[in-house]
Amino acid sequence: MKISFSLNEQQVETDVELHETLLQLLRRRGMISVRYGSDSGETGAGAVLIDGQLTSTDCMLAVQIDGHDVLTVEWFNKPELHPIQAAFVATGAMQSGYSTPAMILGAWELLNRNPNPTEHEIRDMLSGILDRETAYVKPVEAVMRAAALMRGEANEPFGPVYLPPLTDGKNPVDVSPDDDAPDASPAVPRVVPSKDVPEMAVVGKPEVKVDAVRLVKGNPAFTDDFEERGQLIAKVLRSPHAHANIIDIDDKKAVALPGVHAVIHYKNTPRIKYASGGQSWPNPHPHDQVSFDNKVRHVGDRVAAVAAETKEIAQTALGLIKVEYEILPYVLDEVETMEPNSPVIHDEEDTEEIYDADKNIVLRIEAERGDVEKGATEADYVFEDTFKVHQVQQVPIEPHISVAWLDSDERLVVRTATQVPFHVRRMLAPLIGRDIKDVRVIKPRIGGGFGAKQEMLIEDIVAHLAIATRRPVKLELDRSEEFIASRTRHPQTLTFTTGVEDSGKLVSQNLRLIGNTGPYGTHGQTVQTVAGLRGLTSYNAENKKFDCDVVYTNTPVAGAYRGYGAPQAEFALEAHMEDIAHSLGKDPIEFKRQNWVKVGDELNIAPHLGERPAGPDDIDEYPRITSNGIEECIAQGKRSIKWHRKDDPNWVSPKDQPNIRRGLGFAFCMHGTAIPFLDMGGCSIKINDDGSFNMLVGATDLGTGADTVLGQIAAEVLGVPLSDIQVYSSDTDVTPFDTGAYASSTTYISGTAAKLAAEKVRERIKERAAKLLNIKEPCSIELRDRKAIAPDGSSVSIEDIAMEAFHLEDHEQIMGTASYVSPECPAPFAAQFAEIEMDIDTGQVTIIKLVMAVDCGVAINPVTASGQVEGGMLQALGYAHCEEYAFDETGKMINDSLGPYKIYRADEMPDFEVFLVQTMEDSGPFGAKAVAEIPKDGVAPAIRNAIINATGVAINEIPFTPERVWQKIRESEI
Amino acid sequence: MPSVLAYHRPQSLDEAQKLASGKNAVLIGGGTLVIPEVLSNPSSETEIIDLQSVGLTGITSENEGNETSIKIGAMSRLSDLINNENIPHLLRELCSKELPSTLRTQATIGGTIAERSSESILLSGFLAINAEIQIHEKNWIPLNEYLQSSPPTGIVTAIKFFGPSDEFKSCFHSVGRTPMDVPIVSAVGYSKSKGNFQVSFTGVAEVPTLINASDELANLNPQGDFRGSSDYRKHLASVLYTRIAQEMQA
Ligand SMILES: Cc1cc2nc3c(=O)[nH]c(=O)nc-3n(C[C@H](O)[C@H](O)[C@H](O)COP(=O)(O)OP(=O)(O)OC[C@H]3O[C@@H](n4cnc5c(N)ncnc54)[C@H](O)[C@@H]3O)c2cc1C
Ligand code: FES
Repeated sequence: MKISFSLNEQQVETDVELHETLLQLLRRRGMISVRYGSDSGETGAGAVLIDGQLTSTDCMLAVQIDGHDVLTVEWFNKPELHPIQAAFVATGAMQSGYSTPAMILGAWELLNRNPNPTEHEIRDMLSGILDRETAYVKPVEAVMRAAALMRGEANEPFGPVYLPPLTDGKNPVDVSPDDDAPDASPAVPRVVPSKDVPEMAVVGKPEVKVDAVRLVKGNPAFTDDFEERGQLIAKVLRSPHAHANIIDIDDKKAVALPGVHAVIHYKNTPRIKYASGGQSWPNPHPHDQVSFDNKVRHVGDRVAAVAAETKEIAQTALGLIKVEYEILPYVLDEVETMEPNSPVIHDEEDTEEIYDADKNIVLRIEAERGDVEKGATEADYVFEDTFKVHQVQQVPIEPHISVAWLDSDERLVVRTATQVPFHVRRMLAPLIGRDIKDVRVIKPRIGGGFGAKQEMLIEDIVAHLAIATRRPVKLELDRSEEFIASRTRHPQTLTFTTGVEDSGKLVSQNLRLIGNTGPYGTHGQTVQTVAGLRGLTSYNAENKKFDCDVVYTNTPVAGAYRGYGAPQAEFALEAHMEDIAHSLGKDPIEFKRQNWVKVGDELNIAPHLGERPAGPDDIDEYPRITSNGIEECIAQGKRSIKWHRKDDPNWVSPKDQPNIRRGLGFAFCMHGTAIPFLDMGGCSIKINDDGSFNMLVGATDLGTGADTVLGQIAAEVLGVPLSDIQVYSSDTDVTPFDTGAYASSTTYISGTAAKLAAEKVRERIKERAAKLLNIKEPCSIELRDRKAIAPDGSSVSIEDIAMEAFHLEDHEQIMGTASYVSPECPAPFAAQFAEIEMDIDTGQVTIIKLVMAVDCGVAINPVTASGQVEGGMLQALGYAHCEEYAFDETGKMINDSLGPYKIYRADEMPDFEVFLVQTMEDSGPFGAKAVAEIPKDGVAPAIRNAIINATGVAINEIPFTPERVWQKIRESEI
Repeated sequence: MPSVLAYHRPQSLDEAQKLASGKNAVLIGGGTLVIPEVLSNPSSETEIIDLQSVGLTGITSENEGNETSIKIGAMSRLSDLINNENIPHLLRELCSKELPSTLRTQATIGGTIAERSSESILLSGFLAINAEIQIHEKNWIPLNEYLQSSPPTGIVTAIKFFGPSDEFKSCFHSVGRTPMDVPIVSAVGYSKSKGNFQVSFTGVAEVPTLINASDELANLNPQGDFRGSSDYRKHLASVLYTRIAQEMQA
């Protein structure tokens, strides 16, 4: 049908298919800033202005637009940025930037209507655009600042406020109730500098993200923004059953449908075993997957895949595939699955190294230091608590998407939204019968990953189809598939048993954990191991034991999710420690402080837990804590949350609201930084004629700002501004190897690789400069302000050195390549505080404020680092409060869309405040430790402990949804 | 193949009515619910009848006796109500809470009424204030009657209600997982004159439901789901009713 409408003020006449959505039409016409996040308007990633109003495009037919006006961000794009775009850039208001164009359009519409909007009005405007990364903190600030600019007012440059420390860095202090935290916008990171950290030119500065312009303009950046000629669309037929054998598949009708190019399933793909978790070689066992199996093990499991000319044809073809199932009993619960009558989920012959397939136990993990049983007998008290944590999803707004094709040399190329391009290349090659050298994986920008994309999830499907059809094939998951067929956080049942002396000192701590990996092992080992690590290294006790079963069930598959097993374990641990303190009549922070690890303390069980655990006699020296800023974190956090209120009965139980209770809660958080001796990063840097540099990294920036941070590190070494570093990541043909973005490793590991590569380049520059300046000792030369400067003040520009090297004397390409793997895993620490209000008649808990003060070493970029903390806390808030998988009686997830699966939106967020407490971590690049995962750890226990403050009720299960809380209140009869 | 067989944009109500009687015809207001549903169903065969040009927009006020009657055309978007000063504050607030920014500019009042969702707080708001609706070629009927009867066919053309009087009082209470989540149970209280009030609930029956006296609460038999069991929903209804009663009688 022909329609006519105005697109970015140009009248357009075009033919549309009747089933085409407006989103599809706009993207087809090159408006690639309009992004896919859902099919029913839930994410707002594709919102545009229709007749001047912000409107979703995914739940509207293209024909509905006939006669209307549409504006997209492309309309704004001039060489210079619009003030709104500039404000988003300046404040670091985008991480992956996937939904940023929609936010910019909404801001423009709002500011035209209302030049001086309140925060409430800005949040209301953002209410339809879901964001998993910024927690909306910096976008709100960006709109405020854009409004000021557009009103003709000047803005102060955006950057951190620097606060004087409240402690000496080691000892606790009392925070006076009259001492107010300094007033600043919530978006502004509060940095507490350390005297151990020297002043630097680029590191530690709120540099603008290197890819900011690309993102605010909605320029091509993501996998779906690039199209191969003749691209086919793939769709996957998924199991409607939680557990069934496939007796037969008849694909004749589907194959015969015009427009269908290939149908693949267990009968026509090779049965090659693999494990899909994106991890270092050799991938941990068991390798319990094949591309297409003759058994399905969860609702949403793969049955077949189709490549066709259009999505509609592919979808129709799926309906024509006849599958004969033998339905089997299923099990979802991790405890039940080990019982004698439970169905056996992996009964096939060809999966090796399942610990006990008959009991659905994938593997057992055991580690002990000292003697826990003896410790417990000797203790004055023994406390035991069991906790249950549930299944949640990462919910990246960009779903999984991959495109594969054969290039002109017939090598297989995959462009894919992945966190682990090098692992994908290595793992994919054998599945399609190719050598690694015949596979190339390109990772463009990713619209969020959070661990869900640390997996080879769909790349094998597009690869098989591209080879079968000899055409480019694209597969993009829809929102429902993201829930049922992607990856999730592991549900777990955790029991802590802790022996304590009269004095309050811990003597033994045992963690019994049952981890539910769903029907495939993928990250089962690593995640549960990290849960053990995080559960058992935060507090000192001579005797420690981890005893874990990782089990199969028929839930959707669990995998990596930001924080790995830490959020689960730290919920249980911080709840358990809180309850022990209350039982002993001790102040919880004092009790925890007495026992938490301090500088110099041994991480006594750590080396025995890991992907490659050390045996009992393998260790000469245990790793120790090298830096710890927790006391300063606590002081800053207490002041910000007004901690003294928790002891004021009039505040806890306001007299004029008998159904309301208020509470404050605390959680101590400790995380790791990368996996020692395993995570590796590579970097290569070369100089250009003008003294700028190209930097190639294998690291993957998920929106975390990794490219920016790595660029800052190189710029600091090379004495140039960040704008002189062009960062490119990552392409397995071009960039050096990197294990990928996970385990809080990028800044620390890839950052050190970047520093080492830059130092090699710096040496060459200095040597050439010494010659040019007639200086004997190149090492006396300093690189600063784009110059090589000799001690006597003479200098030569880096540009002149480059020109000389390329064109005049001793010709050479100045370049350096380096890689790094760390022997250490320095721990970041944090204090998480929560303020809540609850209605004891209904059980509804409202989160009022979350404060996190983090010791992440030196924040290379305080703006991106605080953004990491904000985004992490947002996801942790969902985990604690509202997100959960719900299943019907057939084992099917019933809330597989956003809305029923509730994630926080802009107009309902609690207040956030982030403090970055500096310490100098000597092993990290310029003093850095990790920051990306620790904000996932403390929110759930802090909220739980706040509920205890409010009501005295201890709840050992999350999320704190109204009915669950109400039931607990009823049981405790308060 | 999910197939939209035809798309019509009738220019008058009569034309729309005629098209709507077709075998595969489906009316759309904004289409926020219909379009995703049609496209996700591979075997659907649908003729879309888009009501955007039949002239059902506009919000008007008229004096009827000493009261003001406010009439809203069925194709008004939720955002049109939010931006209209004549619409009572509570309804504007309910529109903002019903749908986020990117959907309330598309979804229509007619679609919201015809959908009869048990979770629609906006519909519940209209119900509490005794709104009436009009179906093309039929007389005005109370919204309550429309919701309590089996789903009628026909094009919803408008909704009307009396504007706030001097003694008018209204309030909204809800319980949800988060502040802006679709409430598990919500209640709109409305009192036209002192001493009388009624409460309209979502989340306790198949459609938003009006309760005039506390003993009617015992008749509720809500369907439970993972967000709230049947018993819990009943408990919430009773808590919210008591709160509203106190507020209305204060
Ligand atoms: C992401 C999302 C979130 C949502 N959240 C909520 C929520 O929180 N609470 C809630 O209650 N609802 C919610 N909804 C549903 C929402 O209320 C409806 O989408 C909207 O109000 C319907 O308006 P529409 O004009 O788009 O309806 P349409 O999709 O156009 O139509 C809906 C129904 O009404 C019929 N219809 C439309 N107009 C007329 C008319 N004039 N006369 C007769 N029949 C007509 C259609 O045939 C269809 O059956 C949500 C929807 C989405 C997509
Ligand atoms: S920038 Fe928000 S979803 Fe990515």
